[in-house]
Amino acid sequence: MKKEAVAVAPHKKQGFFGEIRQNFWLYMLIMPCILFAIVFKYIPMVGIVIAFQDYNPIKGMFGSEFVGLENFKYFFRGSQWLQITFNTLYLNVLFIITGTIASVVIAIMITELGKNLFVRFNQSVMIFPNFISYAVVAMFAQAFIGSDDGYVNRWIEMFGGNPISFYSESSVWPLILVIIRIWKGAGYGAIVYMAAIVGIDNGVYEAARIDGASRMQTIFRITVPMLKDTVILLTLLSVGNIFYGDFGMIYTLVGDNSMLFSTTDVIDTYVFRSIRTSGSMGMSAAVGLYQSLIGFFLVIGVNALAKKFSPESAIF
Amino acid sequence: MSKKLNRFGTAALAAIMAASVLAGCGGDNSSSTADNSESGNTASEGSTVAEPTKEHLDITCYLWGDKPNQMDDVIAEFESRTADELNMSIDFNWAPQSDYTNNIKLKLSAGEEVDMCFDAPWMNMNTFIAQGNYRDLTSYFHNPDYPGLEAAFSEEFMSNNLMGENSDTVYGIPLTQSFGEGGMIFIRGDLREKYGLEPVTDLESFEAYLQAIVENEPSMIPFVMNGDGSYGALSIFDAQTPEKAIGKIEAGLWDVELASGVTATLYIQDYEVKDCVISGEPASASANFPAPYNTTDLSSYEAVRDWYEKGYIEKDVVTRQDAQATFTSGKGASFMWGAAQYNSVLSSLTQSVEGAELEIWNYDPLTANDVLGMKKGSYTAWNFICIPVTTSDEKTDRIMEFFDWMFSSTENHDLFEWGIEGTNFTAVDEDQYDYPEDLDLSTNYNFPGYELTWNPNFIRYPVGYPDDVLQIMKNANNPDVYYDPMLSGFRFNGDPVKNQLANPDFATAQTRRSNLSLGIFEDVAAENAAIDEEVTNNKTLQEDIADIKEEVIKQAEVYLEKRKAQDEENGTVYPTVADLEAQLGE
Repeated sequence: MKKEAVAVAPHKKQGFFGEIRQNFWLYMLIMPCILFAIVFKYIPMVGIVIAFQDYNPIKGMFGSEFVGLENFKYFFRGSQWLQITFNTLYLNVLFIITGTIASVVIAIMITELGKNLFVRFNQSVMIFPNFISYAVVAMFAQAFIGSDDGYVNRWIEMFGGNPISFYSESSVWPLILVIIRIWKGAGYGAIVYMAAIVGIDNGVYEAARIDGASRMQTIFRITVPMLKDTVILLTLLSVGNIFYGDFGMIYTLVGDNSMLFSTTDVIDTYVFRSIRTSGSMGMSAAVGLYQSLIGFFLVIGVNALAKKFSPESAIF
Repeated sequence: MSKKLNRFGTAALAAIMAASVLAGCGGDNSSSTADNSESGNTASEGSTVAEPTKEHLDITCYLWGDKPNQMDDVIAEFESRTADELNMSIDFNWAPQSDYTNNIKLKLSAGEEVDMCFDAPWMNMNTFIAQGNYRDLTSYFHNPDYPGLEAAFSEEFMSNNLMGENSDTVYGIPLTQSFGEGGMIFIRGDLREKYGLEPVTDLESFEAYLQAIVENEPSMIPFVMNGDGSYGALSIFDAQTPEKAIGKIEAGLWDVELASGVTATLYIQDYEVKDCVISGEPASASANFPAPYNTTDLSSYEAVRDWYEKGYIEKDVVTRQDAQATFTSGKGASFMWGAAQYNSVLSSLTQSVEGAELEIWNYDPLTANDVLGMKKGSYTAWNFICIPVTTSDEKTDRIMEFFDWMFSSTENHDLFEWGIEGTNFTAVDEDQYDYPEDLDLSTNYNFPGYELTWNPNFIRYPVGYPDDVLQIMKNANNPDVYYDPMLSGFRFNGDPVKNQLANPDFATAQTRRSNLSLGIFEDVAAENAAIDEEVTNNKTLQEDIADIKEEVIKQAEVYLEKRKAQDEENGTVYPTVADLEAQLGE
């Protein structure tokens, strides 16, 4: 480890090639990642051209007719695109905020508990839901919140309340989706924060304890502030996808239930419904491009904000 | 030196790890080449036995669904039987239905070989024809060089399956057996007897059965239906009043499906389109229709709501995915499904519920009473095998020779539809089949015939089915039970108005309207009126619907002109309510 660090440390002004020669093996180390990004992330960008074409698979990308912005129009043809865009943003903001808080809390709790078999077991239990597909989650959800024999309604009845028909009550769905999302993702999301906590210098905690800091004080004065950079970094990364509705989640849980559209219909489900009969590749590419462009500008914007208020946590 | 080696080692390790990721991506490819070589091998074995007269050819065929059990055995048998005559190997590729349409597009985009593939008007077919991606196969039909095809695809059959700009071209081999779905209600006979009820023969006795379940089996769903409304209560109620459907066509109102889930009703007088209404439109759109069809009839929807309130339909019906599995696991007391599924329902029900007995009710009074010529149906196929234009002339000829071979004899046809005789099934007489003793049905050959082999001339019925089930199946395949609707050969090409059809509000309005058939809305009329109002006030949607209508009318008129000549030549007479009443009265 130390030897590598020595190799990087002396930094003279040598220009691009000098830099490459100086750190040749380190660059070789990162080469596969760069190649991966070029092959799987940059070259496929040529496909963006499909969004501007009346795409015909046999004629291919270079032979299909160019139609300009025609493919983008249909999305804005609908009267609900504002509502849909709002739902997408609103749900994703909810997911990001609640998910981050839940993950950080779990990470702190687990690290504070130390390392024993019981803690390890609980940690695994919390990570496990991440590997359950939404199709199965949808069945769980039905068993819990179903009207005829759902557990929640049985409990409500047991305490003398009136059962709630969850599948026709659109207002409760943002909450249901948030709970499912936390249950499924928070444990897994905590892994990164746990790694960050382990990375905090133990000396800081020791010094604090010698000065008489309580456990809560060390958490709120040391751990949480030290996690700030990681939180900002991960939030920045998720903001890039904020315009993508979680199709796998929402469509399997809500499906074509029109009674829930007002709060759960997001860009991806809306688009799916409207072009599932025509299946036009140009139109789906156009919407995908629209979502990524907005996500791109949001990332730039949020990064600029991060740079202003906490320069060391910005990505670039 | 050792430091350098170390660094090199680390970099190499990183490269190997990356390479293994890449190899993971390519995994699919290598397995498919393995498949290829495997089928190639068996073929060459076959060809060394009998000296081929034609050059060996590999055909790639794309279908959807799971690969059938024992498919390789059947292909090996096919290759050894036809090494002389056809000398070809067919490599069948399978993809899940949800991925299939995109899969085909991607394969074609990537320039991979797709010699023939399944397609349908509810998949890519209409768009692909408009884009000129499928071969014109017209010349292979009614062609004495292809006697098998000539015999299996009559002129009447083919005339309802012509497509293209002038509706005069064959773009796919039509696959169909029956004219209608042959739907029926599956009932738990053991429960019916337990509660002392007579066999279910009509709506009244069925409702009595449902009521008994509500009262005595609180954990069961009396009537299970899917959340998308398919195979639902609405069709039961609609079937009880056949005079409504016949009255509608007598008044000149013909329905035609434009795209999956989008129906247009054309008002036709003397083969001229007077007006057109598209599903999703408000009631006011049908103002020009003759009474009483100028108002929306919600009575069937209200009847569904009534069932919902009585508890015959579950509260969360909108989330129900698999009605059959719910029924066969013992959680449901009845559901609707095709008669052809009788055997599979019976076996999975008796496997999971001890003492369960299966009974059926034919909810359609027309087929139950063997009424003739009153059900809507025709040789309009919904499934096709198409050949992309990228396939060479020679290959196309050879593919059509394969179909000619398959449809030239029952024996050839049965090999693909039922498997190897004696192993997978036994042929009984001309038109029945049975299974050899001790055959494990769960691992038996199960080819989805609707993707390759279905044809009205090659139908086998199972031995040992109850008479009432067979009656439904036979009626579904009997041309005399059906009348040929005026627009049976009309295939709407949505390509010129695809942007309008893609208006998301259109889909939303339709989804909301189809949810009416589930009974989940307390006030059906109010919800319907709310949708109407929203659609009426949506200016862009109104404009889009107007464009679609214009295109529908334009295309329908081209077809109707042809149809008029055809009807005059054949002396076609369309059914009337008076005919229906006369038959039902008998």
